[in-house]
Amino acid sequence: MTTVLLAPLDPVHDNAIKLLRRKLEAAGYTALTMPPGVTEEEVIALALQERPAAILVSRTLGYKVAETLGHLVDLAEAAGLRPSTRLGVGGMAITQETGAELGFDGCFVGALNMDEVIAFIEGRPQQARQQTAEAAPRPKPDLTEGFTYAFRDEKIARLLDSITEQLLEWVKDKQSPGIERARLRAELLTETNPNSRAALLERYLSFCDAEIQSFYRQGKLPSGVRRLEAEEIARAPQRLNPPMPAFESLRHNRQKPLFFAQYGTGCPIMDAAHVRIAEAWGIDGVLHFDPSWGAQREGLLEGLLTHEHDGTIITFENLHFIRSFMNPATLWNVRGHRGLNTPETQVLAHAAGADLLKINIPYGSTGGGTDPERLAVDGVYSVRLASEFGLPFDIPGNDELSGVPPHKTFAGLLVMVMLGLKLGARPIPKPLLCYSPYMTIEGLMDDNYVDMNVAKLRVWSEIVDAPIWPGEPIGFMTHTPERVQSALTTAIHAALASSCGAAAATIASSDEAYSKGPISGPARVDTLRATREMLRFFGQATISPTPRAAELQAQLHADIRSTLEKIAARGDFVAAIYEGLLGDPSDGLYPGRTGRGSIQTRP
Amino acid sequence: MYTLGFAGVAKNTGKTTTALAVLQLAQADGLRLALTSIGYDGEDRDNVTGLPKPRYALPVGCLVASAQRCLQVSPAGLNLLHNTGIATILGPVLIAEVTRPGLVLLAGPNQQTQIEALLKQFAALKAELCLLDGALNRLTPLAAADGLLLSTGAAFNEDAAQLIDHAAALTSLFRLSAPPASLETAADRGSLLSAQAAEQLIQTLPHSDNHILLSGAAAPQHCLTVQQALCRPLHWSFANPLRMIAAGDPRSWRDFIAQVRAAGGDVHTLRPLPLHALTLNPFYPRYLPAAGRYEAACLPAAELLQQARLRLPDELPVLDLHQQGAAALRPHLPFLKRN
Repeated sequence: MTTVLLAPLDPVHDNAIKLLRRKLEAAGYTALTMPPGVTEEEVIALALQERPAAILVSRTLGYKVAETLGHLVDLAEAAGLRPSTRLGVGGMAITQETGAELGFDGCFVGALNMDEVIAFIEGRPQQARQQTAEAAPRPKPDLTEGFTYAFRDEKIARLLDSITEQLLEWVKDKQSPGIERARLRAELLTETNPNSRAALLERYLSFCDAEIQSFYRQGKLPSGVRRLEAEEIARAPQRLNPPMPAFESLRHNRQKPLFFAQYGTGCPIMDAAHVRIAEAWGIDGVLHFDPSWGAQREGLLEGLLTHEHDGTIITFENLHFIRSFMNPATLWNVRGHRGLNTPETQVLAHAAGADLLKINIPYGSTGGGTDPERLAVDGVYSVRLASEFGLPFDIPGNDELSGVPPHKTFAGLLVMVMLGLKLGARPIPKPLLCYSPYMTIEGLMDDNYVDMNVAKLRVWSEIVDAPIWPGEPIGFMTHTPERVQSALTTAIHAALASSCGAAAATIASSDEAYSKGPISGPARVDTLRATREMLRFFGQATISPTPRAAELQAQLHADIRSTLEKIAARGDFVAAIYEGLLGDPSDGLYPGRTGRGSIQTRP
Repeated sequence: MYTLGFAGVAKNTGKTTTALAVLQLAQADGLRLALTSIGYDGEDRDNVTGLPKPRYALPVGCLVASAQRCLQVSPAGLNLLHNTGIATILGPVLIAEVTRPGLVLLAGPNQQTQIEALLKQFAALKAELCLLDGALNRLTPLAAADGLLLSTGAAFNEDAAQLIDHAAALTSLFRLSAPPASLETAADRGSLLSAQAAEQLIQTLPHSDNHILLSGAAAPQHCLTVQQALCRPLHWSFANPLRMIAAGDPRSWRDFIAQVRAAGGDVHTLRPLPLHALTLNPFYPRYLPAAGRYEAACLPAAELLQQARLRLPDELPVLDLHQQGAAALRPHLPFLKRN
């Protein structure tokens, strides 16, 4: 039987050693333990007597402790033990770098992983976690799996049917420069003949703004944009492909929700770094955020481009570059829910390997700033593309942040759900878990953040059997510039989403709202770490709201129905947006103006 | 190829600063350099105190052996030459040649046998000087070197008198001679680390034996127990000074050696290791309990150096590189040009 010597090398604590002994004995090893307070010489003397396969040391790192551990390693070497006895160390503040500095053969960081410990004792490759990560790919989860999309509120289903039929009829003979470009872009992506490509590009540019045309024709870059340099690109794989730890879900013992993080630093290399950080800390998926100015131009750029402000420019090369550094199992969403390039964004996202698209006509044509008529045409086309590509699309409900009451936002989300279903796609509504201006003004969340958020999630299960993905991010407007507070409020909203059975949730970094620039890696880890702890705390336990939640839910349901009745009665969905039925100036919402007048009606 | 080891009695005593000084001198002499570390070097800040640390900025043409994960994130331009087959926590140790000057993170082999294998590979690549950086207070693997520079300082002990006394005892171990040829060959008794092992040695050593060979780890207090119990002239042989230091405080060794010699015997090392110089670093990290952090502090540098030189033998150069600069090392390193 293989012998392992366990030494705390700590004056008092040996809990980790006791835990390890129990688990090693259960795994069939002889585990010899030494009491707290033994010296390095005593450990090595016993090892010389027993000749264990490994000595495992548990010690929290503090000043001068490194010397104690280094001394143990030195003694083991001097005693001639190292060829036959492997030395491993673990404990608070021990990192792989300190393990290397101390001269150990193995280092155990974080929670006890017995597979890793046993692999070490047996002399199998030390970096078992990393190898597991590379060698055993995870299956990619499907957010929509198991949902029937059956409507439980038949009256709402009938209203949505009427609204979306009218919308589909209205767009039928309409065309936009965005749709033309999407078609041309799809051809450009596959065309290899230079002459044909040049001709396609000329046609593409005929649908573009002057700024985009000058990029292609004169090589003029928009303000604050530069191309990534060859050296930056060449060095990226070295920077961005470190050995990764095996994936450890944030969810403890639950299957859902899947957790998503947003990125969009402006620089594709930085984005890839953020994605790698998020993956290392257990994220299930990421969302690509583009700059708002990109949504206000007719046409998209090409090439590996970085720029100075928030949001990373959408080009095929940028998207493909970022995707190439992701774990294949990481779900990837590219937002194209608003703007003049919505259809083309879906084409590029799909070509670059996106798993999810993002489309929302009502929000994109109000809070998103795009003309409702234009986005209705482009949005319907984009949903058709999602269907053609076989990709789910999510529907962000962030217009609540402008001050819109949730029933109006949810009515818009429901229209998009029905539109998606009619066109054969798989929609995912994203009600916001937040402390919105409307709630603040109306005092609806004065007592707690639980009741209203529970009502906002539960009302969906009364209406339709669809995956619900609270976004974007959860806890919006409960965050402050203080990182601990911010991470905590995100984590508790994550626990609430989990408790309510959400299919997914988007979490912010702890500096996302107040970073004054690109968010930082440590702040991203803050919320991932806090969320993990919170979900560990709750496990299968759930959060119970007060009876007030049921009242709020009933009111919300009734208000959604009433909003949809008004839209259906209006008989023109686009007009309903212009006229504020889904949110008006008193709600802080105005119809978007970008792209107004750009729709053409086919003869 | 000459291999120079950099040993320290504790963290923050100046190993890397000393190595950087030699690097600078060797580079000026045009030597083809190779570099590795038995620990992990290259972080900006100490991982315990948070205080800044010196880093390795390597010139073009320098060979380096470091773990794959360290080389992946090193800003210097590197041409990977081959995999040494040596495994570390941070991945396999690779040999690379610097193609663009810059910082390199080092984490090399940590056992003497691994280092010896690596040195052969460096030699095959025509390296002329290999710098072998130590780690913390770990010394044993540095026995693979041809000679050493030893660093001590206030980070080890803020009491100047104790610091110098320790240094005196420590460096005296490097002056132990090899066993005389006339001495009878002894059976290797390995290690001596417990009272039980000492008692066993007392009981089993034949009366006719006057030579005890301990090539492993032997603690001075147990050796002393044996010496006192047997109470006769004995010759004690240990593998090298570094193994002696690994198993006991040099001041305890000094006491043991004194007793052995008083009884008419002597203490030897099978492989004496040249100690070219001792560097003395007055820096130490001072903990500020109210602030919960460390700050950089220093003992009076000139006074410390003067006291150390008075106490240590004249033939051992004692240097403070911050006061004297890297050039102060040149006369004491045989592989450098004499100016």
